[in-house]
Amino acid sequence: MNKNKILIIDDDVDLLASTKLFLESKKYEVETAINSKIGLGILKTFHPDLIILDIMMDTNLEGFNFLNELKSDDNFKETPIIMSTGMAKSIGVNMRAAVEDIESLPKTKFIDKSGDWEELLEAIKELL
Amino acid sequence: MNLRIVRLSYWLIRLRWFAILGIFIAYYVAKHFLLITIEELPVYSIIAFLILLNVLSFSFLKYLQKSQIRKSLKNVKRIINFQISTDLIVLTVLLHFSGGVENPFIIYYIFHMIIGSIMLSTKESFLQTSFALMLLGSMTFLEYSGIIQHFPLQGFITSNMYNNLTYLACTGFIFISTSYFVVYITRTIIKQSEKHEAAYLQANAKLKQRDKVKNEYVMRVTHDIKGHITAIQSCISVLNEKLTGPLNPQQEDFVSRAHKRIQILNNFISDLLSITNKRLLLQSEKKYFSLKNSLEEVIKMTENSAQEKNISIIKNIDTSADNIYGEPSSIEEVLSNLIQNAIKYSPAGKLVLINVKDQHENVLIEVLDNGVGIPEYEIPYIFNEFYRASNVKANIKDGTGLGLAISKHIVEDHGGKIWVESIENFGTTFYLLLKKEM
Repeated sequence: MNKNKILIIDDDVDLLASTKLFLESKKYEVETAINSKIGLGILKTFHPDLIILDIMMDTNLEGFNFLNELKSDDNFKETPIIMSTGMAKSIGVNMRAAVEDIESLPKTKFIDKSGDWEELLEAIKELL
Repeated sequence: MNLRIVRLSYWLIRLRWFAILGIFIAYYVAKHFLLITIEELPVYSIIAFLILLNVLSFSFLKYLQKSQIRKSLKNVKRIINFQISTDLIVLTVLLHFSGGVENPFIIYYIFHMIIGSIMLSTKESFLQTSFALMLLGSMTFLEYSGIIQHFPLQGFITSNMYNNLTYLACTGFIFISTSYFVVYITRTIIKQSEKHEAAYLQANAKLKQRDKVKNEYVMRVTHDIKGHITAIQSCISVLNEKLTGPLNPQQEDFVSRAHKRIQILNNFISDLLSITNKRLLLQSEKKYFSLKNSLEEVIKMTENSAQEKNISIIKNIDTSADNIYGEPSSIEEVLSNLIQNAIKYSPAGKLVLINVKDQHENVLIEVLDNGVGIPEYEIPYIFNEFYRASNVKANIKDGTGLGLAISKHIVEDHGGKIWVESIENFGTTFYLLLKKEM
């Protein structure tokens, strides 16, 4: 069986390194990108089965902008995405409502960036 | 200030109802007990006119309140001026038909002057006072010179005073000086109180602004800290999960300690962010939603921790208490806080009971446990931020003391109530009263 491929886009290198190691231990093939531009580049060659995307990177909405580009590309618009943010639950911003306008998000999940891998793993299993 | 004017306008209308009643009683007493003859028709006409005036003023005020506030404030002031002027004219007419300047009720002009001074500007107050004095003066002069008829209060005033020049001059002087003096004193007092009120409002606004700045600051700082903590937690997890190879027992012990502490810290920061946000009121997208679904979702989320302690969660949900109005994720946060607390503070193997009851306009949610309970003297404080009951601080280290404070914020933002009953070492029941409708 082929390994499921996951692309993580986050501006925190330490988080990227450790999460990559964790997911690899769970038998996923993982690539990381430090910003959405690099992420877009990797996307074309790596063809991930799932993307973990930080919403607030250089700009507050970098993640959302990446999402928009992704969804306008026929090759990737069906790719499941986990939107991770340090603020979702804590700030109470209803992230889902914020993107529901963009529609066509069949497989998206929002999680709170908490360093809790179990939550992340559950979300991945749910989407793949 | 704006509100004060509107409040005062309603007060003026209420006062007038008393005045109408007063006129009627005074007329009745004068006629039947003091046997004074007073013209009947003018009195009844005036009472009818006053009732009409009051009803119209009331409806107009209501209409203005509904329409644009800023524009209507000027109009409210106009109504007040109009009402006071009209009242003065009515009083003059009433006095004219009941003895004119001989009627002791001329003192009632002073009432109008005081009311005017409370509600109007200094300039307007003095204008209204001058208008009142002009009305009284004109009536007196016209009666004195015989241009209009004098209606004596037969049976009350035995000798004619209305044509006694010395009396008129003295009374006039005293009346005029008293009037202006009263208005001056009233205005001085009112201006002082307005100044205090303005200073109070300003201080209050400043405090609110500072609180907001402080909260935003806390939020920004906390968020930045959270980013680092999350990365640290993730890196320590690598060691804790032994992804880089085995650790010796001592290393493992310390990594595990660090991992636990960082988890607690992370939860604390999440809670801190959450409560700061609740204070900044960034959110709130309320709608009708299924309480039953939310509750089941929350129970599913807490299942793991319940199973670990072999705690069963039993729920009784009144089917008619399902649809309620609110912000689902916030309400879920409250439910999750209460249920997780119930599990956390219960000994293994106990029950946690959740009842949802329909109470007409409200829904009452009860979360009962057989846990450690809360010492009675600490119950009043448990909804305070950072407060943790003394009997749990020592045993259960991962509480932040913010969960209940957040819950209270949320519930109050929804117009609901949250309270607790507890017996130490026996159990605790949290009550959550939520509105069904908007």
